[in-house]
Amino acid sequence: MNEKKLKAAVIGDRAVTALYGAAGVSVFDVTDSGAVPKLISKLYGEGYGIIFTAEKLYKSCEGALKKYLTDPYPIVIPVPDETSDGSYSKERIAANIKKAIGSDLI
Amino acid sequence: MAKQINPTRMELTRLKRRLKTAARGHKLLKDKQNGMTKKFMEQIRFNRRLREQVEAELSDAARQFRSASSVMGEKELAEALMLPAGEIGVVGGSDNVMSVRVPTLSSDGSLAGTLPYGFADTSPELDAATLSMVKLFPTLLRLAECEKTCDMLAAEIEKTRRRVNALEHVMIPEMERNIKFITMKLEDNERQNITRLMKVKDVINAR
Repeated sequence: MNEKKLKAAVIGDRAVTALYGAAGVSVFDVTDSGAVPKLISKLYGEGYGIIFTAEKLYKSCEGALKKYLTDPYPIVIPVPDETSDGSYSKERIAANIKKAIGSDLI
Repeated sequence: MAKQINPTRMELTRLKRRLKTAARGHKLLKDKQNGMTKKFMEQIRFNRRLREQVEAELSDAARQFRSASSVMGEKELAEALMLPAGEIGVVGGSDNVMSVRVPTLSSDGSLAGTLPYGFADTSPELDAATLSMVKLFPTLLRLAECEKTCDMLAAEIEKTRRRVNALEHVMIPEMERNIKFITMKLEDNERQNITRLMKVKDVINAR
């Protein structure tokens, strides 16, 4: 098992990223969802292994992020922003269960 | 299809060997699928609990942050957080779950309890928000690791299920049909041969 040092980044608008920035996560203020897949690819090249993305931005480019499903890194996960009500994360979990088992049993 | 194959003994031996391999592969894939599903169920339950916990704690931190913003003012807050205390350290590795490489993460705790600003112009609400984010970071890492593992396992289970189904419902039955066809054809040839020999014997005896 090869262990390596990774960097963490957060992508989103200022309202979301400021909190993470205070915790030592590198902040990338982005509001245009079209720029997100390119930025993630660039960040991964620069050694960012964990990329927290604001839920609104993640939703709009979910299809482009599917290519990262086959490798363990980068880890791109949505984090709640001002528009979230908690339903999107539940939908993602339900979709994964449906994909793996065939129906949402839990 | 049965009509397009060569009804020869060589083809029959080849098909029997392929059927044996396919049946063995099917069993292995089915075991892999069951193992992955078991691990996936453990992870997805953990993921659900962790998500709820993280969202609740993030919402608390965001509330404290908003309150700091209202006490200090937007500009002062932005100034205080302009320079981060440093980059938080994360150690990443990988683990093997039924031949799926999943990530493992841990925080090296390098920034635990560090505030990126002085206390002169900042409010205690900002300290509380920052410290609760720093405290939450290891949980965020566990969530990232768990969600990625769930995503990867779900994709791999779906792929494996398709392979198992293709073997179980298409390849193995087709091979069995072909073997049956060749066996029947060879038996038929054998009977034809015997009949021909009997006929020849009768002709010879009649002379």
